Amino acid sequence: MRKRTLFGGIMLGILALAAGAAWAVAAEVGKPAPGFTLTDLSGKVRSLSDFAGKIVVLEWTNPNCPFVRRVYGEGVMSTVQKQYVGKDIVWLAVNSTNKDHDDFESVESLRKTYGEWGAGFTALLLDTDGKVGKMYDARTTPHMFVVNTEGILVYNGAIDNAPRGGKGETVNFVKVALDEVRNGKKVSTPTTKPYGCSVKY
Amino acid sequence: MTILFALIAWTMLPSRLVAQVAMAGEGTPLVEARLVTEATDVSRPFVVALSFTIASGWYLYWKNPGDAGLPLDVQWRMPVGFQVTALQYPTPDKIVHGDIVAYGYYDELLVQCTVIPPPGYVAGPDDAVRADLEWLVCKESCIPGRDSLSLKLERVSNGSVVAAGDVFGRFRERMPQTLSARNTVAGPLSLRTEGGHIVATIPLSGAGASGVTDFFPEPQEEFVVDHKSITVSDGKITIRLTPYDSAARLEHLDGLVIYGRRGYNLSIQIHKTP
Repeated sequence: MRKRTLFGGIMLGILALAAGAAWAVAAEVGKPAPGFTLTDLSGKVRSLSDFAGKIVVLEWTNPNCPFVRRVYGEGVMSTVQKQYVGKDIVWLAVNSTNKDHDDFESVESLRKTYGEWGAGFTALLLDTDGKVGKMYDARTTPHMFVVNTEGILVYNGAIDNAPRGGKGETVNFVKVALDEVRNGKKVSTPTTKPYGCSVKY
Repeated sequence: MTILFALIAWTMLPSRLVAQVAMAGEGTPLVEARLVTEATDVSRPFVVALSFTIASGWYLYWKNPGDAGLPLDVQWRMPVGFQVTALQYPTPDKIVHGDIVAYGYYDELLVQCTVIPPPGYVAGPDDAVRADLEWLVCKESCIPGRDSLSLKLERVSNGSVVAAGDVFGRFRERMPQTLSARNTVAGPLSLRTEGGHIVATIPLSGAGASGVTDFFPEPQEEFVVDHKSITVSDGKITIRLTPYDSAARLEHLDGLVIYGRRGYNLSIQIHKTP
């Protein structure tokens, strides 16, 4: 099933390019999530297709971005990761920082930082050439995507509605989307404006 | 008038610096903020401004920061009965890294507003206009900062406030004007859907229309604006937006029509055909 949607995604991409589409091919809510293969912090190769049939959360991250530090420091990110990662939900963090950027960190440094932050993602994937980030049009860190069990992208946007941090009630868009997907419901808010630092391609 | 260093307010983790005074070499703060005014009479509405000096190569954001970043957050504290208008921003620059668009300011920024005292107001010795600010200043990376500023009202009215220099004069031309000043008419707007997106097209007409180079949208609720999609060609502005959900309705589109580095206000109300 995943292979077919991946193929479909590629064909759509080729057709769009051939048609000279004004808008670059990127992940589209309601369409199959673009497939990819990246290496994680332990050197293991991971493909989106490995997780066919599961709900997948993608989280663009950069440990040197003050927004990322805040969402981990305040427990916003790690709490949701730990609450939801399990048999049916996979959480993939992606770092698309280019290696010449000041914000670039080594594998050892990333492992240490996210370990200290108590991160609960399944894996942190290295996208140093930015290809996957650009396929998804990931613009900020954090920038969140949710893929349902059929491989369809169902959420694209911010982690929550509090770019400056929560003072009072905040809505965690990813939690809401995950609860809806698990209950077989349509995601009620499929798109929001992501907040954060720009991804350092 | 206070000069304070930018602090990383959110970093509180053992492996990272607990507090970092963000400096650009030689101990110069990245952002210095002051509350300034040219007014000498506080018994009637007067203009007050936040004046920022920014380290070379770094920028602060416009009210719509673009794809990333954060605009200024200003919390005013004033004597009872005072009101303050919304902040007026000068026309920003567009700062592009690859496909990521930001709107912001290098070197300096002056953000103005009008303070409205209650009728018959006379300044008491402790009365002040205070601003608690938070900003995000970026170059390759971003550093949050904050400051608390105050302007004693008695000092404004007895003329002992330190002069603002020529900053108001420097920014006069940078404040957005009305579009008619450019002999340009924008509209009527048309919308079409394209997959899960909306494409808005605004035709431009009038003698000045060919001088339009860009459009900077104001912050939009309920829609994600694709800033890199904004183009001006064939006598029209085109913008692609994505609704948050199926209930989202585009009711107005506001922003600056750009001619080189000058901006002109545009506000379009969208009337749906029945």
